[in-house]
Amino acid sequence: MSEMPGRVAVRFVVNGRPVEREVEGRQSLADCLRDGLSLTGTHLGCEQGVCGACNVLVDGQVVRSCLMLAAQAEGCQVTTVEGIGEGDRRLNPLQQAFLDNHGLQCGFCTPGMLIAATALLKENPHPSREEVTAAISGVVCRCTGYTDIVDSILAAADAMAR
Amino acid sequence: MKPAPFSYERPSTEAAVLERLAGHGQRAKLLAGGQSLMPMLALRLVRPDVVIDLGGLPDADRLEEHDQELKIGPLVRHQAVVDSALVRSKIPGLAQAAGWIGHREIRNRGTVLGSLAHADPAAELPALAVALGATLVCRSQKGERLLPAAEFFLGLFQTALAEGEMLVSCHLPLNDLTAASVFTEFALRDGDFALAAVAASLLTTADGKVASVRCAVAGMGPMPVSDPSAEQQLIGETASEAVFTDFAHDLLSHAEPQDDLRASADYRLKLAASLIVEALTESMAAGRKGGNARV
Ligand code: FES
Ligand code: FES
Repeated sequence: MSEMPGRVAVRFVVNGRPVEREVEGRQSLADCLRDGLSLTGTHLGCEQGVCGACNVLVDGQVVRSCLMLAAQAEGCQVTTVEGIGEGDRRLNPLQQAFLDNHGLQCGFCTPGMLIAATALLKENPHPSREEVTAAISGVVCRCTGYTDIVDSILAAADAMAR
Repeated sequence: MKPAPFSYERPSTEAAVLERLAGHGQRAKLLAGGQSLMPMLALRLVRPDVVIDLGGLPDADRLEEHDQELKIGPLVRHQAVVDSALVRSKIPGLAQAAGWIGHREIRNRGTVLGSLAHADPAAELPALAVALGATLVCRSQKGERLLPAAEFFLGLFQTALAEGEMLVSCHLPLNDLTAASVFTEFALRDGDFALAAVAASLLTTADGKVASVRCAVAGMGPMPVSDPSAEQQLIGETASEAVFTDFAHDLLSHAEPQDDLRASADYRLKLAASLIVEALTESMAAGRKGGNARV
């Protein structure tokens, strides 16, 4: 193509904070979060929708931020892994359960896992082991073998019920 | 792994989308949920100059019953179909098919019409649309065409959509046959593409004869495979595993399964045959109960 296409103005809310950006049309939401807004908790493993490390919540629903253009987030509420804690750098019960149950090793997949689990527990506060497994089936972990991740999420469900 | 540059447009009316589509021609791609287009852009398998986002269209996520049809708008997402009480009760095979698609993350964004227009040979919804006799509404600035699903899918990722045309709606009949619809598949892992997938619907008479039947399979060739003449022949037969097996054999004589790393063509044929028998049997049971067996 002969000329560079123009930029797109986009406004959305990230972790409760309104943001306004000018982005390239082709920029993914993941790149906008990481490079534009310095929210590097959202990880990029494959950039083609396969690994789940880039999961974020958009209007409360878990989605792949590499499979969404930043421009498509117009008017949306986006929650990244930075936004699920309790503020003041305190861990929420889900994060604490990952820590207590060895739910992470290298941590690369962890943002995707935490986001998928957050969406699950909001919809289904008392999931079965099978339901947890299904909910994280879209996130690839090459370290843990998944068992400790499932245990962590079940422990978080218990802790949150108390 | 970044898309090549493109201009992004987000029209707020369907008329504006069609106008831009007419102006840009093949240089433009429509973006609905993006769950197929975004990976293709990232891998640079497609390099459009313009991406036209349908996300700004009002009421495009409408999923409603009208004149004994289910009408699905251009931004109805897979998960909305899975969760719809209307769909689960009146056309359960559709809710089941949507539930098999990818992972939850994908179902939350991906759209029914996007999947139909993408026409992936392993995709669930094209087979379901063919089996249940969907009508696909294709609109351009020049007018509107209503195409039966069986005429919409032309080959590997190929549809009858002409340049400047957009798939604006999918209409599925709501009747006793579609109320007994079933969708089943087998994939190696949760969320993987199916090795074989089957959409089926079958009603029997009080004395156990086949009254009506529809069936299509996915993943067994460049586009959904069905066999209307085998369906005709099945009508009037006493329903049994043996006649269902014969039917599966006839239908699969049109299949062109491929060998790949995940399964041999021969294995896929056997798998599809057993899934067809299973789906017909389950649909028959659902039809007798006057509703769906499971969602
Ligand atoms: S980076 Fe988005 S799914 Fe892998
Ligand atoms: S902890 Fe290393 S990828 Fe999951």
